[in-house]
Formats: sequence, structure tokens, C-alpha cells
Amino acid sequence: MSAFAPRFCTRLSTGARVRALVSVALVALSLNPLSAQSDGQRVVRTRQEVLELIERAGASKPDWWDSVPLEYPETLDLSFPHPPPSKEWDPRLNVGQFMWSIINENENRFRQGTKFMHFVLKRNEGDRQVVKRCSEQLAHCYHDLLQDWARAAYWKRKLGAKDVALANCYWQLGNKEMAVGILEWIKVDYSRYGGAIKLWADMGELERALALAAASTGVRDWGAAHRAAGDAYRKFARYEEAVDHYQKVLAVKSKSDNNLILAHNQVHARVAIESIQLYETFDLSKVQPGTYEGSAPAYNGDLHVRATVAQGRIADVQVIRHTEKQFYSSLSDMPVKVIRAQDFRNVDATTGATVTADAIKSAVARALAQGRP
Amino acid sequence: MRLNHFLESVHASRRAGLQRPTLYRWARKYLPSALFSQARKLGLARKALAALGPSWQHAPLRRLIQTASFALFFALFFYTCWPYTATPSETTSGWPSHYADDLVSKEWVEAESFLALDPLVGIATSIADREWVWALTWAGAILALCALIPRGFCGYLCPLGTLIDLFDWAIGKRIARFRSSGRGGWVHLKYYLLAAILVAAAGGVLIAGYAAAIPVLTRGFAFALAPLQLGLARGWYQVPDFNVGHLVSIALFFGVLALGLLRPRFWCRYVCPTGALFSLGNFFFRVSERKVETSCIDCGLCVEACPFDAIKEDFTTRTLDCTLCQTCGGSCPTKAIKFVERWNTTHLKADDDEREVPLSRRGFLAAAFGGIVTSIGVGAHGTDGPIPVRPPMSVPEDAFLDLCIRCGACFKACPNSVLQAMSFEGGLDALWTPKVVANWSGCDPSCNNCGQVCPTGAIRALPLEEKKVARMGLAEVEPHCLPLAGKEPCQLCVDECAAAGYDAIEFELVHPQLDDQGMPIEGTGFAAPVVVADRCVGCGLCQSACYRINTKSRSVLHASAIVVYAGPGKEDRIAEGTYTELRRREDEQRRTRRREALDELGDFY
Repeated sequence: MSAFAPRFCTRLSTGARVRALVSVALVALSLNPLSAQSDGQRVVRTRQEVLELIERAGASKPDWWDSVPLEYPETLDLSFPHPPPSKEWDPRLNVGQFMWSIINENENRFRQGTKFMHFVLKRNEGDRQVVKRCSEQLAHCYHDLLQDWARAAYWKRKLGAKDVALANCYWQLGNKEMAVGILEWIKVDYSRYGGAIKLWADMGELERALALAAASTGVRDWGAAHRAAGDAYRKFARYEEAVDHYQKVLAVKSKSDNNLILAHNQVHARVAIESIQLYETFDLSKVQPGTYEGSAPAYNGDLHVRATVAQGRIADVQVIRHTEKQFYSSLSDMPVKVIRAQDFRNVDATTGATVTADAIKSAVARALAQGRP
Repeated sequence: MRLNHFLESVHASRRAGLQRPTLYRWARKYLPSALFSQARKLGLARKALAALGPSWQHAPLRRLIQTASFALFFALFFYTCWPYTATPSETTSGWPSHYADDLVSKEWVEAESFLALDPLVGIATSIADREWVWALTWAGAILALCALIPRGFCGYLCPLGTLIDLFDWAIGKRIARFRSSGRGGWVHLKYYLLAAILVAAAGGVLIAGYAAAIPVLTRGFAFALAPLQLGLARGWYQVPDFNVGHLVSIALFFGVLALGLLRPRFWCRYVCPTGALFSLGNFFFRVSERKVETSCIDCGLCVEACPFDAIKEDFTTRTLDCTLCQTCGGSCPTKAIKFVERWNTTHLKADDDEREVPLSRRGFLAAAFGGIVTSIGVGAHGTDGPIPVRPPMSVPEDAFLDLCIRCGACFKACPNSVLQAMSFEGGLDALWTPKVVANWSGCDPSCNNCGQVCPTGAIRALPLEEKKVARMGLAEVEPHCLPLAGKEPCQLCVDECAAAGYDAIEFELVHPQLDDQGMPIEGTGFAAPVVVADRCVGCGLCQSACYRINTKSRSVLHASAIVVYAGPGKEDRIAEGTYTELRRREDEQRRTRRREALDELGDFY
């Protein structure tokens, strides 16, 4: 399991990837573009403090340890052989595939999978190869799944790895120098989703992120550098440049017909562009007066709204067509809430009717987007 | 003892010295005198009643009670059992309960009261299931009450009877062409029908619901009127399709009404098996009855007034059919009719005893035979189709079929029509029983209405905490599932399940692409849904989501790719004990197994 970068670069699980495709979750994705940067109260620690923290965490159990049961399919081969003896992909037989297919995919199994890896490690203490594989898995669990940076760093350092993930741990633990110390060695980002570029941007170093992106452009037909550059610009609210880069991701031509990594990056770019246009750069004062219609997929099929803008205000919002069966309240509440807030972005959904409510918000966003010059 | 409450004819002479009732004297004292009749001149009250119709004029109290009872039935059916007044709470963070709360808040009278009052419901289900059914208490109560007012249920309370009266007023009396008269052996049809139903019940097959008064009415309403309410109030797209079973039931319902074309209350007089049960009760322990005194002048007005054909040629009473509605009393110009204790024989015109058309032994034998044949025929009809998914907390299937009276109350109370009536696909045995149609909608986590309105306990009336963990089926992912088949990402079912709070579907990455070393490539493959069997309750929300979006809206699948199945091991069908207890025991077992596994290694952090 070589690549930490992709999971690290966005915390989008497969679930979120798909939701992005379906685009119902436009709202959820876009409302928080600056989340990683919300560093108002960032802790800053000295090198000494960080190293002590890592050692202490590595030697102690996480606080959830006792509340999480050890659970795994009884069919698993706990000796964790590598490569697996059979060619067949079987997550109920092979430990690595179990982690990949089942633990990684389900948020509520993250802790359970981590505990399980400790268990496998202890069982195979004598076998150095297996211990190494388990340690890699643990570093992955703590970093990518649990975001327990101290423990992730502990296992990374134990493995002697000096990579983007470890740099990220240092940054997250409050020491930028240590992170930079690792990142500086990366002259070209070969990763699939531009992890090093993203970390530079996360640390507030837009210039260095862009420089690395420029150096990494075109090393593979994945569109990764442009994607990461787009994300970096977006983080700094420079939407025009961000969209430029996303467009470049979409323009990448692949040599292979089955370039799944490029496809993945392109979906990301497409969702980001739409989200920037509909939400982040939304400005009511720029919407021409008029009546607009828009639709979005809701609980039970497409939902259509009609929004009227007059004198720089959202004068009216109406759900004109829908086939929802449940929760009529959100059908009447949401338009009122949108009009009251004069915005569709930070409106709370009606409890228990989030799908319908989000669809109304998306549909309003799409309707109003038509009113822009 | 005098039970008279009819409004005397103004022609009736008052015997000297007889006191008016206290209530009447008070009314006289405090209300304007224009309301009251003077000598032969009608007062305003009487005029108003006369305008409503002769039956109102003769026995207004009875009509008032009928009206109130019918209004209550209407309110219970169309208001209490209308789930859509529920709105999810804005504040609670825990398990939602808005549908359950909504029903409780509207149930100031139990929604199933009328069904429980139909004594045939309690008695037949109890015999068929060989168990005490709580509706029997009500059956006992109403039969006891009817010792005082024989067949009073039919004349005063039964909403089907009132509806038939309305039908006769609006349509029946205007169409003369089908009117018939005369009596024959068929006047006892109701007894034979009752016998057949009880024999079949003894044979373990419940057919009472096909003919018992209240189930016939509620089912008629549920199939013919409830869709109108739903369509008008919430949109026609919410009304599920009709099947043959629906149409047959609606036809039967209108058939019952149409019998009124032959003569008023034809159904009640001659066919209704619930009525037969009251008549029998009447036969064994009635305390009061209608009597005719010697002052009778043979004018025949009472025969004309009687809606139940309960007055013989000689103006004496067919006691088993008389509902004590007292319309005849009010119509009598000489005050010759009285409603008194059975043993009262003062001034009697004639004895009442003889029965003109005897019950026939052959009729009963035929009925019994019919009952036996039905019980064998229906019972032996094996079902080849898939086992239907029953409502949550249904009792075991055999008992379920013996208890389900096919009243349709659960369909009415079910939000989003998850429960729909089976047609003939499960054999006659399962006709009109409820099944979960998960393609249409999923069972709402906040609702336990079906059990609450079930009059017989076929669906158990347990609190939401129980329903939350009671398994009605098990969802299974079909091979054509989009991500499982490697076609496209989709997580409708997972999201739906998580939003409902069950978290019973999780992901498994399938078809990952492997590099040269056999290692999976990040970002490849599809996250396919996997059902966690011990968390799935079979609510069908997943199936509904997949069907609506992938099949109906996007047409990318021919059928839902996640389907709820019932059957042994997939559902909890228990008649006693709680579902939380079942889950607790399973948990216990799991924990024990886990502890054993841990002990061998000690602390492994």
C-alpha cells in the first residue's frame, strides 16, 4: 500500500466521491472550502515538544481503545502473507484486502480496523516482514482514517519513512519547520492527487505550492498537478485562477482509455468548478432581475424551483414541481428560509428532510446562476 | 321498566295521570313554548324533525346517536388514521418518533374502536387462532349491552348500517324497479353465513373479515375512499396502483350497498353475519323487547316505519330482528307500542313467539359443509410466490393469517403506503392481508401505527423501541447492483439506511485494479453495498431508494438492486416476548465469542 497521498489530499472517502458524482452534495462539499485553513488557534510546538508528544502517544493506547470491540471475519488468514497465496481478490481471506475493501470504505470501522491491525501485529511479532506490513497499515490507519497525527508519526518514524504524510503530521502537530524540512526534498510531485502541493498550500505557502505544481505538470497523464494547483488557488479564494487550472485538468488527454486516476481528478475538477460558480462566487447583487427556474435531484426524482429576483433581492422562491413523498414541511419551509436569509448557502435544513432541503438549495443555486451576466 | 325514548305521535292520547319524564318537564319550563306541539298543532321542534324525515320525527334520539357514531367513525378513519399531520421534530436529536407521537396525540378514542366493537371480529379470530384476543373483551361488552337493547349495535352504532340508511335515503328509495317484498328461507341467510364463518374458524381459517360488518366497511373505505383523500390532499402520484384484490373488495362493498335497492337495510336484515351474532345473543339473553298493546288499531303505520322488517303481519315483533330503534313507537297514532322488559305482559295484543319462516337444518348443514370446504380449500392452498414481507412486529405467519381480519386499517394508518393489500398472488388465504411494498416506499423509523390500529393483534401493538429492532425482513444486494456489477458508483441505499439511523449497509470495495505486484490501485474499483445482517430490520428504505431513482427515474436498472426478503432467519415473527430481548441475547452471544478470542492473546496494543 504505497500511496498515502490520495487519502491525505482530500478526506473524501469513496462515499463522498460518489456523492460528488451524483452532485446532490454540492452544498455539503462547497460550504467549507476553507476548512483546512481554519487555523485561528493553531497550536505551535517546538521540535522537542513534537517529538515528545509522538513518543508519548506511541506508547499509550488511544482513548477509544476499550470501547471498540475486536471484530473481524473468522475466515481471515491472520498470518498476513504477502503476496496473498491466491490471485483472487478476497477481502474475507486476505488481511490487506480486508483493510482495503472493508475497513477503508466504512467510517464506522476505522477504529475497529486499527485495533485489528494491532492484533495482527502482536500475533506475528516474530516475522519481521509481517511486522513491517502491519506497521505500514497502522501508519495508514492513524494518518488517513483516524487523523491521529501523533500516532501516525510514531509509526511513520518507526518505519523510517520521510514522506508527505509524515510532513503533514509534523505540520498538524504544530511544527512547520519539521514539515518544510521534509517537503523541501520533494522537487517533483509524482503522486496521483498532488499531495505535496496540497500540503504547501495548507501551510499557507501558495507560491511554493504553485512552483511545485509547475514543476510537476505533465509528469504523468493524471492531471494531478493542475488539480492541486486549482485546489490551492481555491483555498486562497482566487477563483478565476482556480477555475483555469481545473479546466486544464479537464483538458488532459490520456494515452490509455482506462485512466481511472485522471477520471477521478476530472470529476473533482468538474464538481469544484460548478461549486465555485454556484456557491463560492455567488453574489446576489450581480444577478439580473428576473424569474429563473432550476432543478436538482431530490429524494424521489427531480425537484424544480422558480426563483424571482427583483431590486437586488430574492423576492420569491417556489417549488413548482416535485414528486417527494415525505416531509412536506421542508417543501414549504425552505423557500421561506431562503427568502428570509436572502441566500441559499447557510440555510439550515429542516430536520429529517435534508435531502429535499439540499435539493431545494441546489435548485435555487442553479436557477440564480442563470441570472448572471 | 320502560325504555321508551321515541317521540310520541301527536295523535297519541295520553292516559290520565301519567307523568311526563323530568327532562321533558324541565325543557317545557325553560325553552320557548313555540318549540313544543300544542294539542294537534305541531311545534317548531317537531316541524324541524319532520323536515329531516319521518324516522327523525319518530325516534330522534336514535338518529342523533347514529349520527354521532357515524361521525366518530369518520373522524377516526379520516383524521386519526391520517398519518400526514405528523411533522418531524425540529429539536430532538435522538430516534425520531413523529408518526407514532402524532397517532397517540390524535387517538383520544382508540382508532380501532369500531372494529373491536364488531363481536364477530373478536370471536372469529379467537376461535381461528385458538388464543385469547383482546377484542373479545369488547365483544363481550357490546353483547352484554345488547342484552338490554337487543341488536342495538345495528340500529344505533354500526356505521355500515348508517351508511346503508344514507344510501337508502339518497338512492335506494328513488329507484323502485328493484324493490322486492315477501319472505322466504333466504331471510335466514345471515345465520347460515355466520355458521359457515364459525365452522371455518374452527377449522383454523379466518373468513370472517370478508363479511363481518365493520371490516367490510373499513376495507371499502380504505380501498375506495382513502385513495381519494390521499390523491386530493397530497397528490395523485402518491396513490398506489389498484390490483384485482382491491377491485374485488370495492365491488363487494358496493354490492353490499346495492342490496339496499332490493329493500332498505337488506344487508343488515338478511345477510350480515355480525347482525346474526347479535340476533343470536338476542335469542339467548335479551332483557327488553318491543311489545304491542291492545290499543293497536291495525293501521299498519309501524310496518311501514320499520327499517328492519321486524314487525309481523299481526303487528307483533320479530324479536330477533328488532333493533329497538323505536321508530315504530313514534309512528303509532294510538301509543300501542312500548319498549319494556321481556316479561311484561300487561295489555298485550298477542303473543310474539312463533317464527313464521323456520330455520332449516338443511341450511345449517350446507353452511357447515361450506365452512369446512373453505377451511380445507383455503388452508391447503400452498403459496408458490415469494413469502410476503409482513408489517413490522407481525405474529408468526400461521397465526397472522388467523388473526388478520382484513379490515384495511393498517393501510390507512401507514404513511406513504408502504403497506398495501395483497391480491390473489398469495392465494385466497392471503387475500387483502397487508404486505410491505418496498418498491413503493420504505417503513418509516418513527412509525408504529400499523400495530397501534390493528384490532386483533395480528400486528403487535408495541412501543417504538421494539419496532426499531424488530426485523420484518432482510435486505439482500442483487448481482445487478450498479457498483457491484462494476457499472457506476452508487450509494443510494447506504445513505438511506444511514439517514434512517440503522447503519445496516456498509461499503465493500469491489473490482479494484491491481498493479504489477498485485497491489490495488487507489481510486479504482467500486464501493458496493453490503448488508450487515444483524443490524438490518428489513424496513425497505434502501429498496425504495434504489427502485425510485435507478429503476423509475433513471431507468438504468430493470428492478431494484437491493431487495427485502422475508422468510425463516430473516425476520422475527414472535407472538410473545420482546424484540429488544432477542437483540440483547444475540449481543450477549457475540460478546462471549469475542471474549474467548481475546483471552488467548492478552493485551496487544
